[in-house]
Amino acid sequence: MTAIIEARDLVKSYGATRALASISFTIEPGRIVGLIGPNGAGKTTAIKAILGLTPFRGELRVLGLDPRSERDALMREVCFMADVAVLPRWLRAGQALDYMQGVHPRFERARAEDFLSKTQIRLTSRVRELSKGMVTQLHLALVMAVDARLLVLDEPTLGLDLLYRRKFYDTLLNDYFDKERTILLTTHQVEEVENLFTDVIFINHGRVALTSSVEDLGRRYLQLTVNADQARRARALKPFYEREVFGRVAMLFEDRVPAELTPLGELRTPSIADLFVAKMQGATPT
Amino acid sequence: MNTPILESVAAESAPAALPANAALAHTLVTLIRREFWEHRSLWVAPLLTAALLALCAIPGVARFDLGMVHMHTNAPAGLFTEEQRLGMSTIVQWALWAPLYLVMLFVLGFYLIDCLYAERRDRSILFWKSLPVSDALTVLSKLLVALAVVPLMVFALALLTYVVFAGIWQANVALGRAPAILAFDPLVWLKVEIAMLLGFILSALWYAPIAAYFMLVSAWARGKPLLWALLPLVLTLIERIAFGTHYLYNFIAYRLGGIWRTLSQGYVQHSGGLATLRPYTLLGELNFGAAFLDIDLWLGVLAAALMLYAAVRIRRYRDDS
Repeated sequence: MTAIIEARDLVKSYGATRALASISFTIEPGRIVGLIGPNGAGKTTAIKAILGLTPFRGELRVLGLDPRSERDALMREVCFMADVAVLPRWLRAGQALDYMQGVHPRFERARAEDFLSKTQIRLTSRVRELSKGMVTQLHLALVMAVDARLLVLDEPTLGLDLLYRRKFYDTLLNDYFDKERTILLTTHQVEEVENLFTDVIFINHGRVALTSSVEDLGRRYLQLTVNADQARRARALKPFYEREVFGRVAMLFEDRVPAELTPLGELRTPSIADLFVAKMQGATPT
Repeated sequence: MNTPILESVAAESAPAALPANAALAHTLVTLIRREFWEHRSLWVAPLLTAALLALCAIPGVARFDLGMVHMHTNAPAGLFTEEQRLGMSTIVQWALWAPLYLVMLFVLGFYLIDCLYAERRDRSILFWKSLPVSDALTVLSKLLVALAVVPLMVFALALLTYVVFAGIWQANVALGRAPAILAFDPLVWLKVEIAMLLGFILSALWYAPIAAYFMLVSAWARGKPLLWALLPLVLTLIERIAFGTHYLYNFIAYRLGGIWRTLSQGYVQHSGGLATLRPYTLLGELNFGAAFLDIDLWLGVLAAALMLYAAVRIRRYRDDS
């Protein structure tokens, strides 16, 4: 199958700041991809490039289209949610539905109405009268009613409380996602959504630090927790990251056979959050 | 690489989809409705003005003093000739139109300065741009609101206001509470309406570069678009103080009022007095031909097109939200 997104050597500078210093990655259809990086890593810039919202250098095909020159065609099949504050405050829920129906050939009003009927949002409610969580629900209702092939979410739950966040991702996974669709998601709250991802792309300083499917992560990375007395032997196997936890040492290994490590201590698959921290903080001190 | 996707779009949406032109028209109508949701002053202000004007027909609400006619309720019937009463009707028709026109200019000025700035200020541009609507169509919809939809709406409103005003007035005449100073002739009425409509069209074309300049500022300014929009006026003062010249002032004054001078060339204002009161249809008296053929009118339209193109480009490639 052809890739949903193919990026080759994307470069973008804001003045002297390099937001993207040559980024390359591929996203296959039917995946839920986490684009993960610290603040200022270039996540939002990468997303803006994908959506054709900002000029950049490099090669980029999204659904086979160039976002720079074919943006209007692209947006028929791509949905985008930035953080919660982008629906205009004067808009009424009913107007939002009217508008979507008027401009989007793939919008199915009944689906959005059905979704809204399960919330506290009335069609006459204005965005300014809704809580942050409800605004996100409204936006989600609009997005879910569009038959899109790619959904791009940039920190969609920023500033929401845990209940709304959980509900948001549950809805996304259960009512929206299927094998025909692809979701690209950036977030700070990696721990909360890591079970959602099928793939992760770590970026840092405008570069890709790691790109992998979650399955492969389990094969390639191992976390070993050892007692202090075993630490020296474990270090000989060259972990790329280590930290002390309650007097024991947790180490992360790349491309090691489990049999080598098992005798030394407890072995398990690292969480995406652990791996992220390890990758961002760089190699272990020697 | 493009074709499979484009074909699949066409194949999937073909049965239910509207023909391309109808879909485009549908989108445009939606975009225009959107402007009225956001900028409610576009219809509220003219509507309130029209209501106030119509209320003036109720005796005692307003006092009319046209210098030559003091409208007392006890004015005897037959004081005026038919010709004079027709003239009075046309004066009323124009007098109800003028405030509406001025309110419209005022409201549209603020609208244009805000229309591409507000969406950046509240970051809703990220929502609008997440939908399959091109920047050109968005800018076009806002221009159409300012130069066609609102003027036509105000034109219709002026017509309605006159009908209501005349209706209230005549009812009071029948009840003996207002003087019978109005008379009606469909042809005279129609001529005035046509002159008004031509005036609206001429106004839209003549003010197109100012509208486009406001939209350009609205798309471009990082903050305070109102100040940027009014900057040329400040520059006229600076020019005057620094160089003692009035080139910019003259230019702006011309772009504001020039076409109305062309339009009224050869029109002789009759001095007041009942003797000269006659229908002011203005259709034949005003020089519409010369005004519509004015080269500066069309140069202005060209300048407007260039500025709008720039506004579209800025909205397309600007990245500060």
